[in-house]
Amino acid sequence: MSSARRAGPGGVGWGGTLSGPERSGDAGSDRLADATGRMLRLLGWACLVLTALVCLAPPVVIVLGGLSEGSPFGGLDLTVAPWLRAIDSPQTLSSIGYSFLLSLRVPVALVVAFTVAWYLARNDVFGKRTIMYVLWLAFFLPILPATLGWILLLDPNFGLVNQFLHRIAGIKPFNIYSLGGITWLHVTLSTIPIMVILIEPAQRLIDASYEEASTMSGAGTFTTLRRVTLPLIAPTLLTALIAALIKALEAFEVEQLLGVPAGILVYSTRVFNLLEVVPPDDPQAMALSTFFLALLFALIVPYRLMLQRSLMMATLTGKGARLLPRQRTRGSNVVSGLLFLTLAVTVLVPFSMVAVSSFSKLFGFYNIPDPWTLGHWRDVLGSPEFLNSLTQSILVGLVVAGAGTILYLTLAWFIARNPLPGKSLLSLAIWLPWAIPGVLLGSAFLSLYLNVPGLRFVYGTVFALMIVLIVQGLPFATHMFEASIGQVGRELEESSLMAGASRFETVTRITAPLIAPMVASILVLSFMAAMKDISATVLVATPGTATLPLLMFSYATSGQLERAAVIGVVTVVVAVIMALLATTLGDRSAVAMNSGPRITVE
Amino acid sequence: MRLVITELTKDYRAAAKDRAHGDRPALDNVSLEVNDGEFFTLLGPSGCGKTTLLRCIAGLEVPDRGEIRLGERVIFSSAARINIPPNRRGLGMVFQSYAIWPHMDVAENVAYPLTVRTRRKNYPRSEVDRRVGELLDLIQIRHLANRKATMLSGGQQQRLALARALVMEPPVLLLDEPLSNLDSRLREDLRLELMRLQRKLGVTALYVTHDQSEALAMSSAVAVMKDGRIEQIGTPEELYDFPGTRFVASFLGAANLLKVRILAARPHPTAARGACFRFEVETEWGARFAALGRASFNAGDSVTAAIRPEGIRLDVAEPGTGAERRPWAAVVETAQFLGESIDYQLNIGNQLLRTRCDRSRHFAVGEKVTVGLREEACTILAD
Repeated sequence: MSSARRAGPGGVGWGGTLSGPERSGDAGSDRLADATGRMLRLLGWACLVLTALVCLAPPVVIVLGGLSEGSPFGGLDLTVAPWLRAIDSPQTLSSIGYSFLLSLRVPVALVVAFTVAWYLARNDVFGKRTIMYVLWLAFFLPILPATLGWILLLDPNFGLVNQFLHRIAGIKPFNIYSLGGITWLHVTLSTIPIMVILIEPAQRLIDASYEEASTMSGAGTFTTLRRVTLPLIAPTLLTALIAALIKALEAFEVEQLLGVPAGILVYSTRVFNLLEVVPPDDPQAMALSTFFLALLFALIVPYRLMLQRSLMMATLTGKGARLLPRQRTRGSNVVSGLLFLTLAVTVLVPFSMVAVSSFSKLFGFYNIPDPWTLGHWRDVLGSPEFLNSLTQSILVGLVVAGAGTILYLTLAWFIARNPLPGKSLLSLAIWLPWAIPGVLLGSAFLSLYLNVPGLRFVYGTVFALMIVLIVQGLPFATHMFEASIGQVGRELEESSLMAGASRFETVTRITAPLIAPMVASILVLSFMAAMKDISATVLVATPGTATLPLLMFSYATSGQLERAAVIGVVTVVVAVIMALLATTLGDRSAVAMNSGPRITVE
Repeated sequence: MRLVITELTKDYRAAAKDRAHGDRPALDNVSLEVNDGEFFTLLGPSGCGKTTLLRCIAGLEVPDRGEIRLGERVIFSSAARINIPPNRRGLGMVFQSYAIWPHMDVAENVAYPLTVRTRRKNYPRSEVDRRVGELLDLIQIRHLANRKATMLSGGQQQRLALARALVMEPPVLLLDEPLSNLDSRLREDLRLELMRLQRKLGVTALYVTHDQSEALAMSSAVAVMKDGRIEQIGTPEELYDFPGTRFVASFLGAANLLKVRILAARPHPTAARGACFRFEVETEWGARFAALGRASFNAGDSVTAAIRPEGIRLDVAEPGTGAERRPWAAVVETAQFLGESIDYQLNIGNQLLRTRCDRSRHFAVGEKVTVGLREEACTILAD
């Protein structure tokens, strides 16, 4: 296997008859095959270069935009004035400070998530499947309705919990419009769920015999955890940490909804603020963004390097765990109970509040006579803008999911399987959008649409949204595809070549079906990303092209919370359906993913 | 079909700076010819380049220099800049991991080579079904046709991989250590099966293995490889009886290598094939014996003799007769019971000598014995 695994200079390199004078046999058809092979490779390379350019464009626009007054396209006139304005502005400085404070939740959440994931992976916990499923759901659900739900519960004045406590104890202790409120929402609905989802399978895939060997050497549970388990799972933890840090910096809608009323501006909302005030100060927004871009880049480059080294060190996904989870005990039942309770409070309660509020006449006022109504539903569902947004959302979602998945898979396959010149630089370039917060990515693309000749027609159409969303999803999806293609043994593809299939046929008939669960996940994730995105599209969308989440966002920020709740319920229903689809698709198409087929003795 | 490989070289260092592949090229000027219908084996320890050579023939690796010719057709030539992609070479290949596609059932796996785009038009559905059925019959897994490929045992997967490689009737079948993942009993069954099929279909087979007994049992010709070079090519008997180098002698049959001095040399009239000499030689401790050899040497030359373990006969050294003080007196150091035979390690003239004896006599560790050599089991090496 080791020889077959050899990547890089192995594989099929130069593609054959490079204008050879002498040839024999049925050289005609051979030459044809060579030409196709070379064409394919050229196509892949061109595709990669083009994508890298598209990914490189936004950061270039941002950096140059921060160094010039006016548009960087209208003649470059380098100046540091925007930077000086940014440094002078106390709001800018405080937004950096608040962003930093809010990102402190990530390391804390990582500790919690690792503990939960480790416990779930190594112990037989009652209802484990349900727990994992609810975590997925939490990750899938759009965060805006949940924010609305928590506003309902913890608003300092009319929040139900505060009202209740006021009645029995005379206090209103909670205020959702605060740093604590923002942190609470993120930690419970995105940071911890996604980390557990990422870490738990990785933990399960680490061959338990590593841990058993440590136990047999006399180490206790804690020593084993510290000296064997943690170093082995470090790459996954690092990925989770970096991804969550970036997510924390680019989080937008919660901060806008909860932070702005309390006077808390973070980096992303400050950028939005600078772009939306009259007159907008694009250069200062770009200058501030350049600072964060540099920061994120400084995180990503060492992370990429470390990831490469750890991949070379060991592939842990091999035989799978042989260790049977420790038996169910009273302790594990208590843990299971606690997890269920926590998930009920953090996931189910806020969303049921949204559902309740979509049927209430006025948010939080239930002591008025006859507080319930179907009016909001009638209003929203009957409005032309809802129907328009719904069709836009579905259209954008389907195109982004379909075209995106094909693009991501193609790129990942070329990166994983072909020696291309300049490959490592190109693959670093396609990581760039990961480091650019949605609002900023949207604004960079907006200025590209408006200023690059020939792109003007895109502005004001749904294509504008689709392009931004596809680029935004690119780094993560390509990375996931790359990883799962890496798990498909090279010999499985080579045997198809030997059977006479071309590379293209091999990918469509062997590789893609083998990684079908991943294809299904990426399809659904891309669709959901398009269905719930606000930050990347909020600046790009025009009135005619607004999607469902943007409509909800505009309702929510203009005080029409009940209407926003109606759309929230619709989106949640879509999300639940998609989550179910994802799991069934994944289960049905799952095949043995080991490098060779699993050997089952009869 | 005849397969001719000329001066093939492949060096990973040229392509990648820090790849840990030792200091030698993976393939170093390798030339060989495989005749039509032959069962040709590439034998050598791991890292000797045999798999690289096979993959170069398959088209899965691109050599740096050299030429590969399949019949009249050049499938690779660095001089003419020809490199036919693997899917156009039309060769069958069985991989070490079998590479059975887990998302297809057994019949779909076998049918795959007939349903690829370039062949689809030549094989209508009914023809595909007929040929798949035929092959599954031949390989004796017809009853598993609709089973998921992941639900097969190791031996069944091996058969399936073979059926898939043979279904398109390739001119040459490439086999990359196909039996190495099986247990020893199954390995012997499949070895016989493989030989039966190869002979029945008349396909030229190129077989890679590190197992010398497999190589000797199955092949019509064997090339022993070491460090990217071919050490010796010949029939199994030739290689076994007249190893050219110390490496071949010790790799095939684990011969004892002794430094000896030639006392006398003369042509050996009874040798069936090729020139042969009979040498009288003397060991460093003064024991004399006779050995055969292909290379010519003169009296007084220092050479290496290979003595195969099964050519050594042991007798009890009767105490008091003086036998224990003669040059051929030895002491048993270890004894290993192997079932049909017993392996002894002897100390003779302060050297270790491995022997393999049948079970008619049993010697205890520490026992004094006298050693006798069969002339045909002793060879003088060329290097």
